[in-house]
Amino acid sequence: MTREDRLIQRMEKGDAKAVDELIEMFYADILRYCLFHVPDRSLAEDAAQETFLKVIRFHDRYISSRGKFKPFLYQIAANTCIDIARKSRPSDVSLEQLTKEFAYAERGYEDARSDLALRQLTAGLPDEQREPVLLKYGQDLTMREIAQALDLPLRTVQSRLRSALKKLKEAYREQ
Amino acid sequence: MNNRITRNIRKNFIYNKEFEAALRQALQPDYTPTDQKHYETTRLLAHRESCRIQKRRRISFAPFLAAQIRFIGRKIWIMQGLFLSVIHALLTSVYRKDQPAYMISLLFCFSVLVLMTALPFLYRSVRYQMQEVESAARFSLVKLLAAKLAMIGIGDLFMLGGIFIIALWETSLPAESIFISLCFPFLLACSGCLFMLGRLDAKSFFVGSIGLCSVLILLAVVFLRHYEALLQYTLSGKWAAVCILLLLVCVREYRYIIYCSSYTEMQLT
Repeated sequence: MTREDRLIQRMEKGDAKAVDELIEMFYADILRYCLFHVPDRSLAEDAAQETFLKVIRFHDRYISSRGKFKPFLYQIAANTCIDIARKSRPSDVSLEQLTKEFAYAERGYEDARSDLALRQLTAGLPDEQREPVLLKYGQDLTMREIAQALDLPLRTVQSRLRSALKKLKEAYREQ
Repeated sequence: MNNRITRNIRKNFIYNKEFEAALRQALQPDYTPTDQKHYETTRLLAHRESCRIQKRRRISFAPFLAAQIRFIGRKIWIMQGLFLSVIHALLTSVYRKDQPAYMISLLFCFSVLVLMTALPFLYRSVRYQMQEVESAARFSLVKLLAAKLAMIGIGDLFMLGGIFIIALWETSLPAESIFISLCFPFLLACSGCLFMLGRLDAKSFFVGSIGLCSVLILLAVVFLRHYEALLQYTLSGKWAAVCILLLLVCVREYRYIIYCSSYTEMQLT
């Protein structure tokens, strides 16, 4: 049994500390994921908050599905972001916006530029290719977890990720 | 290290691993700045949501049944236990060895009476005008009825088993005859009562069930002399078929009540 499963079990029994631990474990990751999907920071924070509330509200579905927690969490986060982005009539994620969201100050100028360019290129990928890239390299999910989160066959995820990487490499080389 | 990776990527992107490392580094910054106030709000709202969910958490049938045992199950089983001890006293004192047919009749009556011990509990909510309260509660009336029937069924099974053992111990009747004398009337009364439960309102069901059980007891008493023939039967295929058929009728009626009948509406009329 994973740590997440134990937390959900404790949550089921009404343990308030389990809720705290769960939020502490995933808040930063989910916020980072949401920052990639909604147009501004306050909306991303709202999306992250709504994601955790939905996890608590629908945790019995997770228990009954007996799946892995991360795919369940990211599926909720993705749906929440879609809803929020749809309501707020989003524009494309801008370079300036991404610059503001992440910290670069401690790293060199060259690295920061390189990161920024990669993030911009990732943001420019088609939806079906961007999502596996974000989950794989942004959130460290395994291929199987990505397939579960996106509700896609494993092979499809692999091929999309391969195409996305190829596209990113070519685009980066051209820059 | 980071500079080296970047330089390598800039030069050529031959190595996927290096590119992936750079991509990971770009998409996972050292830290994501979090607004502490918003984080605390999320925690607070999550706690509230958790409390709200706890309050209205759905329970499955097994815990619900366990909870119902506390409220009503114990009363049903205590009453059935008392009834069983009365039957035991009757069987040991009234039994006439020279008239086995009398014994068969008595067993027939007992098995119907076993079923009748459940009727007051099924009529309870009507008697105390509790249907509205029960229907307004968060569990369904059908689920409550299923729990009651389960508890009554368990109690009846133990009682019939008890009577069977007492009769086997105290009388010289063959086991097959005792089994038939208990099983057949019980299943007959049971299927009739379940049939009425799914189709009649609470008051009519109670009156109808009492009527049916009384008729069965009357039949057992009036046609006492004919039971001599029953003693000749063993647990033949015919009797087994009749009992299985009645059992199937009971199951069908139970399913009808739970899934098809308008039991809830009938209780409130």
